[in-house]
Formats: sequence, structure tokens, C-alpha cells
Amino acid sequence: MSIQWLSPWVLWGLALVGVPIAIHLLVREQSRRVDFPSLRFLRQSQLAAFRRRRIQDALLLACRVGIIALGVLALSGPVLFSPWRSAAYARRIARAIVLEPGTEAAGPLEGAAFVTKTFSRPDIADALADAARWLDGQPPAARELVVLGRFGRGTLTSGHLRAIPTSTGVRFVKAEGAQAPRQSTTLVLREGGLQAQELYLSDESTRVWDSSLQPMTGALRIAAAPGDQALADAAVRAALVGGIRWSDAATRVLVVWDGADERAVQRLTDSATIVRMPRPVPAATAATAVVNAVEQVTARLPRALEPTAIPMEQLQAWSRPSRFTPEAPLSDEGDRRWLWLMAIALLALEYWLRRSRVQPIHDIVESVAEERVA
Amino acid sequence: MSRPHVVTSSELQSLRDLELATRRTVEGLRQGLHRSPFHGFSAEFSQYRHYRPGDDLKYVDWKAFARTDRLYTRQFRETTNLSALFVIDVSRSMNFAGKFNLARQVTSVLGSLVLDQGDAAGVLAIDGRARLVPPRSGHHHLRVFLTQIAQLAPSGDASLADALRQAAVVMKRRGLVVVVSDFYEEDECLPQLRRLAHMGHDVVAIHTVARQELTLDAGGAAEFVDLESGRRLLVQPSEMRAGYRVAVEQWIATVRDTITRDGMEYLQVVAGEPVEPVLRRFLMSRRGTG
Repeated sequence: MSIQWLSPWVLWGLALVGVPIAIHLLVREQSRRVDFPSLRFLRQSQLAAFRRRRIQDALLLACRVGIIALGVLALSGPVLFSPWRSAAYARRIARAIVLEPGTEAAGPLEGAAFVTKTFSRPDIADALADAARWLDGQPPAARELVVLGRFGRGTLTSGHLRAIPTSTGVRFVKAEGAQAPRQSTTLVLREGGLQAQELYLSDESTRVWDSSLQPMTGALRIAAAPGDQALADAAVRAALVGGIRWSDAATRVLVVWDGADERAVQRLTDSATIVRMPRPVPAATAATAVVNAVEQVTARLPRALEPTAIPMEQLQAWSRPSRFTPEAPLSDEGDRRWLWLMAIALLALEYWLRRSRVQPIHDIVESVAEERVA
Repeated sequence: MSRPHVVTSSELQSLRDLELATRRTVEGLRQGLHRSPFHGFSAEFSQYRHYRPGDDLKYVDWKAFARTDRLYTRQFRETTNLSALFVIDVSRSMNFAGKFNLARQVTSVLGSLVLDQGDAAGVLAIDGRARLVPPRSGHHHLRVFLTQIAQLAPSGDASLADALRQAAVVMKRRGLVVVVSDFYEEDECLPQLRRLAHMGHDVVAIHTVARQELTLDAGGAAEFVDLESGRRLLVQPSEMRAGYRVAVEQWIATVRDTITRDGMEYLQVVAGEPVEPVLRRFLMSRRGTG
């Protein structure tokens, strides 16, 4: 069991308990003093009244110290972490749903959350930042960030996720309507000759065969420099833009990165429009570069860039379960209410003690007796 | 003549019709109101005694001789002036519920009375050092007497027994010694009183007590502090009031009996109660026996 404070600096106010103690020590009421000529005819009384007065003084001081201490503690906003409460916190989920641009919110997600909010920004990085901030301000609970989208390559990187606290769970949910795996063929100059690559975008598997004798199909071909396999792959995936039917393209386009084999390019010059462009760095930006290049040639813009999906393995690697940590921002769950109640109870006790100690009972009896005699 | 404010003029005037007479014979230097141990031949007849050869024949009562056929010589009482010393207890126990003021009041009234009747009055107290106004007579001495009384205050260094020893030295002739005290030091001071009485002084012990001392009427539980020693005691008065009253009464009776047994006179005055009737009874009783 542990305790945390919403306003720990208020705990400095506990120093105020020294005030009643100081007052008690400095101005405590001495027992009534009677100067008497001689004590020879008197003897010590076993006075219940004195004992009671001392006990009452101690109780009164304890009450006053307790009232101040409880008030200060209540203002400090304590949050008591009992095993039961920690389990309850861990069971509930504060969920932020981040929609990838172009993705629409899907139906109910798996697992109920006690608070949910959806974030959608043109830049998914902004949406992630908003979601992280929102989660940071939520009451104690397990935090979960759900990214809903098609997870095209280049849209989400580990850099984006680095801004998410490690205690926040991350889950990736494929948006409905995600495009079916696409297939394309590209030419890659490898080992001095052209080779055709056929990429199945669903699982990113690559099948390479010797296609030097076969005519190339498809409207878009990309000639990559030797060793730029990754660049070529990215470009191909980027080129598979939904809504652009390359087979209908009036012009065949050959995108040539700087450094590509000019002999291969020359062989295709007759059958395609050649677009020369610098090699995008990093490779992930190749998609944009290719689309821009194609746009220049075909004058037909894709309605959206829909890159190929991030591998499932990668998404699984980025995923992590949500868990509750006491370091999470806290909110008052009513603990201070009990402290206020205890302070009020002590206040009532203090009032009662103060009233009862003003006139000891024997004094009352004596005064009544004297009144009767009078 | 303005007098220091120890006693009001009305209090002084209230007893003007009385005088403080002695119950014993005193030795004075001049003629006065009081009996002298010396039987001289003055105006006031005292007694007869059998004629002894050598007696002056003019003092022989011839009428008595004619009636009884015996010779008697008339003796006359010689009166002289009184020398009174007031010894005041200035111990701290007197500083309770107006006891000390009562002591000063009684001393002032009686001293004024003594001075007004032409006798000598002095005052003695020891509070670390002796504060003595030797007995003198005359109205001019009244101011000195009252001033000394007004300047007295209860002190922790006071010793009534020492004051009484000093009184035995001061009073060279037989006179009146009035001791005003609460007699809490009775073990030490009563022998000194007895000694003064044996020296022939007319000793009057005025016992000043406070009503609260007699009744322990001190309200609820409290911490009682001994004015003399500073000792502290937590006391519930209601718990022990009855036993206290019995003990105090027994103690007062013991003090009174001890004093009167030795031929001294005992007078109790209670602080907070009118003192004039008590003093009047006291003075009247002494006049009757004088």
C-alpha cells in the first residue's frame, strides 16, 4: 500500500501543527493556584479532577494538532493506493484512438474503456501528440493508444511512437476497407543485367525471376541503381496508388533515379517517358517523390497516397500492452473527503472537551450546593 | 496632623472613649494611668496593711483603729506611665487574605490609643533586619509610629521569635508587649512569649487569622502553595474541609491555652470581619481587671 499526493507542496503546511503545541506550552493553563499560610493541616488529594484535567489537556492538544494535520493532508490531496484500488485502476482503460489520415472511425473496439477520445489530424504525428497529452491528463487508469488505419509504409515510424509514454499501451487496428494487396513489377538493374521483381504487397514477399527476355508489363517502371533495392521497393509500393489505373495510362513512365544504369534506361526510352530525379533520402520518402514525378508526367494525381502496409511483424513489435503505473497522473478519488470528515469529527470532539473542562463537575456540584445553602 | 494610611481616622476615633490598661503592674518613669509595683503615697487608696514599727503615723487609719482596736496603715496605689511595644509578625504567612493589613490596623489603633492616653508606644518587627521604633510618648511620636507600621511588609526573612528576643532587650522595664501574629511559628515564639511574661511584662497575643484559614473555603480543587516554604500541594478542599476545620480549631485552642496558661492574654481577630467590636470587648475587659 502506498500513498501519493496531488499537491505535495501543501504538506509543508504540516509545520502548522507546531502552532497549537507552542500555544499549549506557552500559555497552558496552570492548575488553579491558591497561596495559603500553612499547609500543615492539608494533605495531598488524589484528585480525579487534576488527572482528568491533564488528560483533557492532552486530548485537547491532540485534537487541535489532528485538526490541523488532517486539514493540511486533505488539502494535499492524498491518493491511497491500496491493492484493491490499484487493481481497480488497472482494470479500467483510458483509450485514445488515433485515426490515420483518410481513415474513418470504425465500430466499437475490443475491450471497454471508461473514457475514450478519438484524434484525427492531417499529420498523424500531431494526432499522436494530442492523444498522448490527453492520456496524460486522465484519471488513474491503464492507458491505451489505439491507432486505426491502413498503416501504409512511411505513414508511421518508430519515431512517431517514441513520443508515447512507455506505460501507455499501443495497439494497431487495421481500418476496414483497407486496399487489397497489390502487385507490381519493377525493373531492377542487378548484377549488370535487368531483372524483374514481382512484389506482393500483402506480405511484402519478393519473387525474383529472370525476365530479361520477357516484355515488361505495367505502365510504371522504376530503374534503380545497383544496391538500391530498398529504394526501388519503396518506389514501387508508393506507385501503387489506389485509384490510378496504370494500365490505362496513356503514357508509360520510367522513373530513373540518379545513378541508374544508363544502358538499361536507353533500352526503354522508346517505350516510356523517362523521369529523372534525385535519389530520395531516406527511402521512405520515395513514395512521395515517385508520385510527384508521375504527376508531372501524367498530369493525373492520385486521390490519395496509399502506401503499402507496414509489415505485421513490425506492428506487433510496436504494440505493447497497457498497464497501470502509480506514476501516472492522479486525481482525487475521494480520499480527502474522509480526511475532512475526520477533521470535522475532531473539531466536534475539541469543542466538547473545551466545554467540559471549563468547569469541573465537582465545582458545579459545589456551586449548586452553595446556591441551595444561600 | 496627617497620618500614614494604615488605619482610617474613623477607626481610630471609634475607640477613643477607651484606654488600653495593663493587667499587670508596670514600671514607668512618671505618673500615669497604670499600676506601679511601687506603693507610694498618692491620692488613690490601695489597701490596708498591719502597722509595722517605723510606719509614718499620718498614714495610720485611726478610725479603723477605733473600730477594731488594731493598727492599720493605709497604702496608696502609685500610678505610672505605660511603655508598650508592639511586635508585629511580618512573615509571609501573614500576607494572606488581609491578615497583615489587619495586624497593622490593630497595631495602629491600639498604639494610637496608648499614645493618646499619654503612654509610650513603640513597634518592632524583624524582616531580615530589625525595624524598631522605641517606645516613646507624645503626639509627635504617633506619626513616627504609624509610618513605621505603614512601611512594614511581609518578608521571607522574618522571624517572630527573633523579634521577641529583641523585645526582651528593648523592654528594660516592665511594660506591655503586644504580639500580633498568626503564630504558625508557635514552637519558636511561644517560649519567647513565656519568657517575656516571666520577665513581668504584660503580654498580649493577638492572633490574626483569616476566615479562609478557618474554613478552608477555597472553592474547587487547586494547587495550594505554602506562603512560608513555597511547598506545593494539590488539594481538593471539599474532600478534606471537615477534617481541616477540626485540626485548625484544635491548633488554635492549643495556642490559646498555652498562652493563657502562662498568664498572657489571648485575642483572636479575624480578617474580613469588623475589628472594632473585638477590640472594644478586649479593651473593656482589660479596664475591668485593671
